[in-house]
Amino acid sequence: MAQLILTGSLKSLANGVAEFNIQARNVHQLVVELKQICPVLAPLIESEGFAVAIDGEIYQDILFAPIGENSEVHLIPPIGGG
Amino acid sequence: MNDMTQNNLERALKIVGTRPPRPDGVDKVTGRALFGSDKSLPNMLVGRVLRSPYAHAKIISIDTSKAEVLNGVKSIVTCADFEDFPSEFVPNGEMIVNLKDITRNIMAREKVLYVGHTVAAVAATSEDIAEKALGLIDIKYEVLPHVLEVEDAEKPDAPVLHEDMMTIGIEPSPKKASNVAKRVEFGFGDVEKGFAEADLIVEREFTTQQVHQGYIEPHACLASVSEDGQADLWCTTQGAFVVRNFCSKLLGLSAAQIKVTASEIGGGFGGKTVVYLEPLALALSRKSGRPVKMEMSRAEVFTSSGPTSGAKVWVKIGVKNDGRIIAGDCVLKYQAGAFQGAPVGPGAMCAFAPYDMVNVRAVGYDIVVNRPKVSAYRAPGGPISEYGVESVLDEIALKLEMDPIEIRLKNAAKEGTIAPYGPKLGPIGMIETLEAAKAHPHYSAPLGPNQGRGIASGFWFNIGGETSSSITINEDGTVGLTLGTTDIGGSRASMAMMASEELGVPMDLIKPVIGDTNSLGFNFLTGGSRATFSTGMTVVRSTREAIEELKKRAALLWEVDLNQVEWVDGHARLIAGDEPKTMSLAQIAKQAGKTGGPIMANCSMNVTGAGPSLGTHIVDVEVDTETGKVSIVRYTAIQDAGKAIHPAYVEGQMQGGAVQGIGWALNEEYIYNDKGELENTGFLDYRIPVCSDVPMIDTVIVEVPNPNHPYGVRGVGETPIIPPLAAISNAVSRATNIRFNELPLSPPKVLAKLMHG
Repeated sequence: MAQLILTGSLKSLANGVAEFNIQARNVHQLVVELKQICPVLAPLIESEGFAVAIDGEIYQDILFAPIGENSEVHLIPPIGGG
Repeated sequence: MNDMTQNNLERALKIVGTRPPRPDGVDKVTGRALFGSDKSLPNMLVGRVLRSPYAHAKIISIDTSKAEVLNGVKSIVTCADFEDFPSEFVPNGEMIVNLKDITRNIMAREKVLYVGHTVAAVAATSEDIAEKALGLIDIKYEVLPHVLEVEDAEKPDAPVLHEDMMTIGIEPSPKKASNVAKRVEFGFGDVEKGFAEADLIVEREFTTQQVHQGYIEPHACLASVSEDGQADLWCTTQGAFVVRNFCSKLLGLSAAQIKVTASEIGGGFGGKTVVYLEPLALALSRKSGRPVKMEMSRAEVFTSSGPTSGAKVWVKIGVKNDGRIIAGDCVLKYQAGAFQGAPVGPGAMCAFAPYDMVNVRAVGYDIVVNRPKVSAYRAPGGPISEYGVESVLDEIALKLEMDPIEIRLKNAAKEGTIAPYGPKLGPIGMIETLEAAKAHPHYSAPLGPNQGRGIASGFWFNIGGETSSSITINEDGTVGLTLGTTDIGGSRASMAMMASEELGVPMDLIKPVIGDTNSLGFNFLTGGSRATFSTGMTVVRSTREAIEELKKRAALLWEVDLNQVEWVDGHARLIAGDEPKTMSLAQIAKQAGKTGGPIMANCSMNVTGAGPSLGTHIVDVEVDTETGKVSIVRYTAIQDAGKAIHPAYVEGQMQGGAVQGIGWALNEEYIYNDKGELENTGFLDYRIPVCSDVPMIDTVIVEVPNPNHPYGVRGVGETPIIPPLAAISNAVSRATNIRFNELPLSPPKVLAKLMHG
């Protein structure tokens, strides 16, 4: 089963829970599922946006990036540059 | 992995990796290139801005009546001419910003929050009249106490800039407003346990000052809004589409009503990713019915556009006796300027990213102060945090009597390392850049008296993002490329080279141009070291589509199946048959009309798969012990580019980043007086490096290919500004045997430390 792994601020917001088993098979489904499994994170993600790292590859604003059956998923802030 | 099924990582390349002249070079050296202020229109007005003289004040009233009746004044705008937006976070170029803040930054509303904050703008028939009109605008203020430094801004009794700003990211949520907009934290493991197991711990505090990108071309634009609401905007920017979207929102226009054309750009480095004059010029033009041109003076660039943060940084690193890092911890407090949005998130994410950590924590605070709102600057946030980490690591190497490269090699991040911000890293070149540094003759060269050698590494993520481009095969066999990312570092050449490599035709047959916002789908701006990677991806993909179409036309003419045609060296070639048959691109193009019409292809995608870039710099300095002046004696920048499409431009990025980092390390700083007024608003007093200040920056390009790009490209523009701060500070510390923890290392500061320790 794919896992959502939280670290740092997000882990604290999720009351210290670091890992969630997730059913989602893409980022769009993950956003929906997140509202159920960790509702405290949903407003943050909706208001400020987040990138998703799936098996190490970072996807910004790509709703249908696929999540594999055993993928490791991280939420990270969107990254810019200068 | 991106869907680029054919890649060129193993193929012998003919064009990519060479150093042809840049397509825009002649126009730039002859003065023909048009920059932001070089365009004019008939009946054009001159726009000027009235700015706040106070660092923090309530606006009691604004009376423009006297200015309005001045002969020659055609329009005046204030906050009343712009819609007030509620708090809404939206992507703004490089960072997520609050639309409410953007509205207030382009035009102050309830309060002015820094000296230089815009309060009104005037369009008039001449510069003199516009300036006179500014003097006739009567603004009544109630002056408030101001705060400039993060350590003062976070005190409980500090003047509060935004009465509705509650700190995000702390539990329980505060009930009282403060200047701390946000707390962020990244990391994993057990930092306290790690420190308990450490043989050596070094803990230090660092200070960096606010610095400006120092682009030579000030902000400038020309806006023309017609009677039917169609707007044309010419401006110097890193992202025409981002400007379009923000201006449309701020002015209540649709995206289709605004066409933005990016001029040639005289430097941006992240500072031209936001809007300042553009919405004002559009509003003035809409109100007056005439085109309006606006330019910032150099002083306005310093006081009113976005520099990057000054900061306080605390770093603690614990190691075993063999140099292995067992715990790393840092706290970063970054100035955001007048509105939230300091780059402290990325700063915290990449602070320890060059290293393979087991216990790591990086905490960041985004703190508002009465300074201009910060903007992106090359690797936003990274140079500051990594300066602290790289400095402490150098001190640890000294205490352990280890070589500074060896301690970095011992801890270097590699493929599979878990980054401090969570995910596992793909292939990266940290070890390769360190090995190249160790092998470089510079590293073993003897040092003279009062000289020291410093080493530092740097990490930046790099990004992809929304990108589109198109390719057109002209009837004479030449090729047009339309690109949507502003060319700020030679990307037109790189794109033409990739198209040339794919097509197998000479690069001089390919003409790359930057399209306006009506010519392509949305393009995210040029920044984050993304243009060569992302736009290159779309160019390769659209070129391959065009080649497929060329093959189809050849198959039609030969009356064979498509699968009997291949593309080799600019020619369609018939695979089957006894007689070798070929048809050149030009021959096919000539008959395009008769075989189905013009040949062109587009590619639009949200590009993923950017590969982080790592760099290691070596610097030798000499310290004048009588004056405190630090001279750069020798400098070598080493960086993993993935693949250098045009090595000279990659070297240029590395050299440019290194020189900007040298300025940040040695001289640059915003100097405020006790009224909150910036005192060094020109290049005489704000000292960026000039040619005579630096030696030739030697470069070594390391190539660890990014597997997600058809040519292996990573971004290169951000990383080279990260290592110089710590490398120079480490070199000065080693030259003097005194640790320096504050930037800039300007002569008075160095001399004071030499005299008093």
